[in-house]
Amino acid sequence: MRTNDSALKQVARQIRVDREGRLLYRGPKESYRERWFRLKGNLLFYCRTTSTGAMLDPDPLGMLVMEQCSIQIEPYGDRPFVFSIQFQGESDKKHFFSGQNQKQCEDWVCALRASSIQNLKSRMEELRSRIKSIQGADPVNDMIVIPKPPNR
Amino acid sequence: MKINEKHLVSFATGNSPADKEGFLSKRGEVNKSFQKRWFALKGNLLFYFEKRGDRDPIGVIILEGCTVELAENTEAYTFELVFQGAGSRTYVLAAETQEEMENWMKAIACGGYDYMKLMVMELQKQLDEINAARRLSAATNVPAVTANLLDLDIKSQGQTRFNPFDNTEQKSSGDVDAFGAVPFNSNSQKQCEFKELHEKYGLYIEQKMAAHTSA
Repeated sequence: MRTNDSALKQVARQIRVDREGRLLYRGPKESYRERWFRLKGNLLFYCRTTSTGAMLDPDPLGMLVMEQCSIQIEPYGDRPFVFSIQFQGESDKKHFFSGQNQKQCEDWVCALRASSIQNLKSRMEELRSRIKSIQGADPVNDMIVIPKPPNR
Repeated sequence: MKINEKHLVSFATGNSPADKEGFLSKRGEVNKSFQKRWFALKGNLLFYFEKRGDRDPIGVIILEGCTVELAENTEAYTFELVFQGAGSRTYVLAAETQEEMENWMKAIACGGYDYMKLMVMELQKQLDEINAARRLSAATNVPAVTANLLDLDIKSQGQTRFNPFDNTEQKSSGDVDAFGAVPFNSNSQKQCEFKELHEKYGLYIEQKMAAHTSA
């Protein structure tokens, strides 16, 4: 399946992302390797690290699209501070991530769970119905939000 | 770059409804002729299939960091998805009618992640303002006005300054956040037994956690 790879690399190279940090990553049937992760919207990129653990190369090795997936803390994992991502359509295949401490692990889990567009949509609907039930009018109808092109 | 393709394909063809679907002609990268394809937009992922009803998409355009623009060339009802960066492909798409073109441009622009995030932030802000106004209204018995909170400021001379954070009566219909739970009021003067506190706020914390983990 064709994808717009080169455009995605541009996204991965952005200076400001929603969250980034170092984690040990183990894809299905792989062993743990240190990677630098960058989360932008619902796209999770990962890059190589240097010997001191910094991001080596902003060109990503890979990308995970954070839609239709379930993220769990794995308290009985093979390492401490582990969480996993399981994607729908890939049952029995989990991606494992190992952090440096409990807080980092939990922060990543929270950020990843909130990152999907599906999550944004349901939050939007929840807020919309809350406001409508109080005010009686649908707030979205009154909002004129013109999408602005991203900064070049 | 490695992408978990199997998951993307399953997402494309899965049960979740597409935000928009339809035929568009796409100009080839090497071969500059237009090819009719079936497109399906799901969030910020624009999938395209060789024909409608196909099981696997032949491609996906991830709509991050792109602008939607009208095409400059002479083809009718043509628009472009312009991406940044050297070597990034500009996708040229053509619809069959003016209306279809406009609908697609709007759907793609509104499908972007940043746009959705902006909407959520804007709605949250509105809800916060409504709650603040209700708090004031509950305390001063003035009808809630959501527009300008400054209007509710001390218009009546001679009254002592009102502190909106003093909550002498905690009504059950007070602040309601997006999860429908009542927030903890640290200014409450009541002496509560631990059991009371545990019951009252334990539920709130539980609800928050449930909402958190199900997100």
